Order: sequence, then structure tokens, then C-alpha cells
Amino acid sequence: MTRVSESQLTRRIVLDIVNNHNDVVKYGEEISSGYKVKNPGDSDQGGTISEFRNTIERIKGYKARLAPTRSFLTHQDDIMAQAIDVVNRARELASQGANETISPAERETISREVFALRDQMVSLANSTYQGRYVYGGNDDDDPPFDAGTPYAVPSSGSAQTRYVFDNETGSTTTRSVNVADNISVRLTSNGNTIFSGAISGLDRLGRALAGFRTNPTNPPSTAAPDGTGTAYTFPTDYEEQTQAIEGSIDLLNSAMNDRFLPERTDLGARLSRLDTVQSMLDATSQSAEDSLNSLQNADSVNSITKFQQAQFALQASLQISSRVLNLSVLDFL
Amino acid sequence: MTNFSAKILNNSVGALSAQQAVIANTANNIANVNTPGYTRRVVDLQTRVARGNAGGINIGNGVEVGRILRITDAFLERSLRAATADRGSANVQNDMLGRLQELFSLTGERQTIGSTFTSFFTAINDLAANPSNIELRSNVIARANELTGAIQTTYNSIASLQTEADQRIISEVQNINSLSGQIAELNARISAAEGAQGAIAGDERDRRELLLQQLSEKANVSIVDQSDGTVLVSLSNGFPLVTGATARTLATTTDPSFATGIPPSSLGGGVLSYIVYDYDPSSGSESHIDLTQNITGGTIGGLLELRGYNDVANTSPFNATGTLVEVASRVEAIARSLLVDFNQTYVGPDRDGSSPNHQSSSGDLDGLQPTNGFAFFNAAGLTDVGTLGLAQTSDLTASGLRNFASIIGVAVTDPRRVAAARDTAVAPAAPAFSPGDGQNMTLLAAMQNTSRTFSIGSYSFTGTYEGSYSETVTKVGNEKSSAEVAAKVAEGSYEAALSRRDEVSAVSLDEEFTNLVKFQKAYQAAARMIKVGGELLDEVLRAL
Repeated sequence: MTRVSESQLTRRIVLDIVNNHNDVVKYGEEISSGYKVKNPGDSDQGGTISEFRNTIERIKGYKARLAPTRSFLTHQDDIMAQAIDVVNRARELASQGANETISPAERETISREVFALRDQMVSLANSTYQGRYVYGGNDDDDPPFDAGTPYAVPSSGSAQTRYVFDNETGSTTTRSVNVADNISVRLTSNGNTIFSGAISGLDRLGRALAGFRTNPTNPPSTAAPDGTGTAYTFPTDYEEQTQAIEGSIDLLNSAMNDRFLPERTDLGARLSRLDTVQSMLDATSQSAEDSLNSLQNADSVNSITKFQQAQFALQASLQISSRVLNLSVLDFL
Repeated sequence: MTNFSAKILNNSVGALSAQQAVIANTANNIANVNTPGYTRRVVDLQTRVARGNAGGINIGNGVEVGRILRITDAFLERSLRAATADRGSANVQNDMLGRLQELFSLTGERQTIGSTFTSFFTAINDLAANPSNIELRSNVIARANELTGAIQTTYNSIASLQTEADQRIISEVQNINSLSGQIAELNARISAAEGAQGAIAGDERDRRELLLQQLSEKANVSIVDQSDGTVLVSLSNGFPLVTGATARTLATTTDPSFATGIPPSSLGGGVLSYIVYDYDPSSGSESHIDLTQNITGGTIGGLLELRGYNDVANTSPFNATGTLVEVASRVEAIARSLLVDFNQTYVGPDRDGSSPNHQSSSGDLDGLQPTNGFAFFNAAGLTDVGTLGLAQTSDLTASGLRNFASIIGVAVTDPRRVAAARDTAVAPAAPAFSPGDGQNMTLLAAMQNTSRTFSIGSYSFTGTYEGSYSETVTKVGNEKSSAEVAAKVAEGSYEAALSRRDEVSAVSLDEEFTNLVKFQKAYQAAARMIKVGGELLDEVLRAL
């Protein structure tokens, strides 16, 4: 027969009450905090939870970078669209000018619009986005294209001005941005490659229409014009002038087909890559959130049920204790 | 004719005395119903044996008090002591690991090393995309400060847990000394009382049993009963703590006589204590024997497992064993990797091999190059390791420092000085940078996904920065949850052992009350018998 002593009885009862009380506190905390795992010891998945948190935070960082990246690339797409418009207009003017029914004076008039187009092209190449030159590579101090040594002839005016690419440290470097783990997207392109041909073509076209040679005289040579071009004499050089105008059309075609159009396609490709990355990040972060939620967050229905059970158990143990502790043979003697 | 009247009176008086003794014992049991360690007593009643040969008809000589029995079971006491030791160890570990795990909180509401690492690398990635932006540059510095802050807080908290464990060991050793002193004194009184008078020194034994149990809570001790009533108390390696009336006083010291070099340092830069016994105090100088590793179980054993034990030959705190040391080592290894690996990438390879014109290949917003190997992360007291200063892990400890996680900081304070640019050309005469260059940041950002081996002291592990942090979280979680399970198991087996002991030895009031009634009735009956015996005599007298 088992002997039951007073100390056994009280300790047992106290222990039960304490255990039940702990359960009530535990589930109560789950409900109020929303977490079933707060510290590493609460689960054997502590490291996984920490990994998921890191993943979610990291993706937040990537996503925050996606929107500005997209708007920057879209901005470049706009620039390319404008550049294409400029080249198209210049080609129209060039065909007008190449028509041998017009006089040198009329050609000179056309050249003014061509120089305006050239200046517009230069300002497109020198455009900034959030304080940085879009086509300046890493060289944030200077614009990519600036007026270099002027042409020897004429001695003044738009036809004299010559724009050259500013070759400094980092000016041809392209920038890229990390948009996901191990995925980076190129942000910028080499300004020299993209714009030099178009600007040079517009230069030659304008000068030819205005009545000046540009050396080397033989487009499609893309070598930088050296500025020693002399003026045409009319009517002897009228034929040569027409050839120079037609030659610059080739340069403009090449700038359009080899530079602007491919660049625009490439921008489109990069933008659609961003969309892919975006949906990938969304999916990854969603699944990480889901996993984290199931690992760490309290299931409120479950917690409330357990809380109520624990509450009943505590009440029961308190009631039982008052009954049992009052039970003594003394009351019957 | 035999005079039975005298017998009636004699036996009744004897019975009165015997029942009184039992009632007195019951009173004593009831009085001690709530006394910890009290073992209930039972009065052993026996029939009185007549001296010599009574002859004729033997009616019997009544009752007498034989002995007072202590109802105890040596095996139950022993298993209770063992359970007490387990409980002591498990509880103290569970308690301290509970505080450790809060440093690695998973709620995301407080900054941990993991969360600050993620935001630091996010800031670096942001700057890589837009290097001339001063705001993003400041952001990198701010996030780096949060990271070093989290590393410092985590490490320092672990270090102070270790110091606390060390101090609790010191005070528990003093408790052991006080307990073993009292046990020795009780040993002396028990052997004197039981040897001279042949009685059971019950109260002294109860007290000693309680003290032995308290001693077991501090450390595992082995207890052997001796024939003279004393107990021999010894540590797990056989070191006799109490022999008869002698108790040996343990001591704690940070400067034991057997240490040859510098004693092992603690995580916080202090010195860990040894538990020693001075076996020849009269010699004037200390003659210590090391008992530190011989104390197992109990609170001291549990604390030692957390705090760690380091061999005297090892001065690095990271060579020690122990849960706290292992976790702190991981934090320290991360800090050292930032000081070495991260700084190396930050400074970039040396562009010019010839002394003294070393040039780093990274540059800041004004095109200036970092000139010190500890150019991004630094720790107070670390100086340039010379030449270009691409520090190696071995260079760190050369300065005599040990714990870098507690002092790691950010060297860069001016956002313009963050070297985001990198000249990637092979050996240029003079590195050139453009202000908008973020290639150095791109290279640093790539470190986030690079797995590396962290190695320190006797610990080594592999992973990315964040990955190794998560692994540490798992490690802490496993330690804590197994300590929690161990504490529950220990509590359960302690409860079971105590319950079994109480089942045999504790006082049951119901039982005592029933006894009270029973013996009170017997006493009343015996008293009535005296009256009857007297009346019988009166009858005879009246007849005369």
C-alpha cells in the first residue's frame, strides 16, 4: 500500500498548479505577441527562421532598387526615341539638301536646322538623371561631350564648333546594379559608342550644307574629323558638296541602324529582364514569408483553444487543491 | 501464592509510560510535519522480559519501549541526492542559456548580427549602383555602425554571462565549504552520541542528510557510511571533502601555484578561476592541486560546462571548452573576418609591389586611397600592420589584443571617405578613379554570397556571413532546447525521488492522528487497569 504523506500531497498540488499556470502564461503570450517562436530555443528551426528573415530583408533591398532602375532605363529609352527622331529629321533635311535643284544659299539655310539638331543630339548625350550624366560612365564631374578644338574653317558660327567625347578615367565604364542574388543588370552604355557616330555625322552634314569640307573627306570613315576642312568654291565644287551631303547620310544611317536601334532593343530587353526579376523576387519573398509565418507565427485559433484548455486545467487544479488539502481524518475524530 | 495485584499495577504503570512515549513521539512527528529533511520516527514497543526465571505461571510482564526507529531508506536517499545534483546542473544551464538565446531573438524586433548584416550589405549594394550619392554613403557607414554595435553587444553579453558563471562558481565553492564544515561537525556529534550512549542520534542524522542533499545540489559527491556513524564525502575523483570530523576547505583562485604561464583569460579579458585545494597550507607558500575538472554535476558542474575550462597552457579564451565559449567564438570569428577579409577586399590588392610606395587600388569620392589595412572596420588598438597593411588573421593577435568582437568599430566617419571606386587595371603606375565608380562596392557586395571558413581557437566553421550567423542561432537554439528538456527530465526525476523518499520517510498527519487515538485509548485503558488493580487490593483489605 502506498503511503501518502502531507509533504507529498502539497508539493504535488503546488507543482500541478505551477505547471498549469505556466501553460496559461505561455499560450496567453502566444496570443498577445502573435509569435509561437520568439527565441532560438523555442523551436529546432531557429536557424531556418533567421535565414528566412535575412532573405526577406535582402529581397526588400533588391525590390527597393528595382523601381529606380526601371525608371532610369525607361528614361534612357525616351532619350533613344528622341535621338531617333533627331536622326530621322536630319536624314529628311539631308535628302532635301542633296537635291541638286537647290542653290548653295538654300543649302546653307538648311544647315542651320541641322546644327540645331546636332546641338539637340549633344544635349541628349549630355543629359543627366538624378544629378549624374547618363552617358558619362563613372565620370560624374564632366559632361561626356564638350566643345573640343574648333574647326579651322570657318572662323566663327555653329559650323566651327566641334563636339568631342571627353575621354577621362571611367568615362567609358558602364554601371550595373545588383537586382537579385548574383543577378546584375547593366544600367548605362558607353556614350562614346552610342553618340559619337551620330554627332559626327550631323557635324559633317551641317558643315557640308553650310559649304565647308571636313577632313578626312571620305565618309564613311569614322575617324575623328581633324578640323582642317576648307570652304567649297561655287559652282566648281557643287558636285563635291552634294557627294559630301550624301556621304553624311550614310553616317546617319549607320548611327541609326548600328547604335540607336540596337540600344533601344537592348533597353527593352533589360526592362523586361527587370520584370522577370521582379516576379521572381515577389515569388521568393512570398514563399519565404509563408514559410516564416508557418514556422514562427502563432496559429491564433490553435493558441486560443490551447489557452482555454490551460485555463480550465488551472481552474480545475485550484478547485481540487482546496478540496484535497481540506480533507483530514481530524475532521472526523 | 503469587501476588497478581502487584502485577496488574506494575504492568499498567509500564503500559502508561509506554503509551505516553508513543504519544510523545506522535507529538514530535506532528510538530515536524513540515520540517524539510525530517524523517518520521516510530516507537518500537516490545513485551517486557522478566529478569531471572519467574517460575510458575507466567502471565507476562507488560510492555516497554524498545527503540525509536528512524523510518528511512538509504537507497532512496541516495537516488534523491543524485537527482538533486542533476537538477542543480540542468536548472542553472537552462536559466543561463535562456538569457543567452535572447541575444539571438527571432522576432525581428531587435537588431541582431544577422539582421544588421543584411541591411549593411543592402546599403553596400545601393551605393554600388549610385556611388557619388552622399546620402547612400552615409547610409553605408550608419549600417556598418549598427553591425559592429550588434556584434559588440552580443559578444559582451556572452562575456558577461561567462563572468557571472565564474562568480557563481566562486560563491558556490564557498557554500560547499560551509556545508562540508557543518557535515564534519555533525559527524563528530553523531559518532560521540551513538558511540557512548548507543542511541540513534536521529535529529543530527536528519540535519546531516539535509546538508548532504544541499551539497549534492552544488556538485556530484559520493557518500559512504562509516561504522562509527560518520559519513565520508568525496568528489568524483576521490578527493575526500569530509572525513570524520575533518572538512577540507576548497578555494578559488586565478593564480594557482601549478600555473606556469599566464592563466587562461575569460571572454571579457579577465581571468577564469580555478577550484583548488591547498594541501600544505603550513608551508607558507601555496601548494595547490587542481580540482576544477574533477567537479561534475550539480550547479558548479553545470556552470563549468557553460563557462568552459581552459588548460593552463592555453592563454586564448577561445581554446576553452564550454557552450558560452563556443558561441562567443563564432561571434569573434565573424568580427575577425570583417577586420581581415572585408578590409582586404575594401583596400584592394597592392598595385605596386615595391616599398615604400604601396598603393591600394580603391579610392574614395575625392580619388584618395585608403592608406591603412584597417581602413573600413577597425578595433581600438589595432594599428597598420605595415607596408600596405593587408592584415592577416595572425596579425590581429600580434598586438596583444584578444577579443576583437568587443571593440570592433567603423574606421570611416566621413561619407566622402568611403572608398567606393576601384581601379581594376593591372598594375597601373598611379591608380586613377572616377567619382561615380562603384566597382569596389560591387566587389564588397559580392562578399555577401561568398562562403568562407571562419576559424578561431579550437573552433572552425564554414558559410556566408549571414549563413554562419543562422548556424549560430541553430546552435544556441539546440543548446537551449536540450537544456530545457534536461531541466524538465531532471525536475521530474527529482520530484519522483523526493516523492518516493517522502512516501517512506515523511509524516502523514492522518496516520499520526489515527495513532494518537489508538494510543490515547490504550492509555485510558491502562489508567483504568490501575484503578481496577487498586480496587482489587481494596477488596482484600476490606476483608481483613
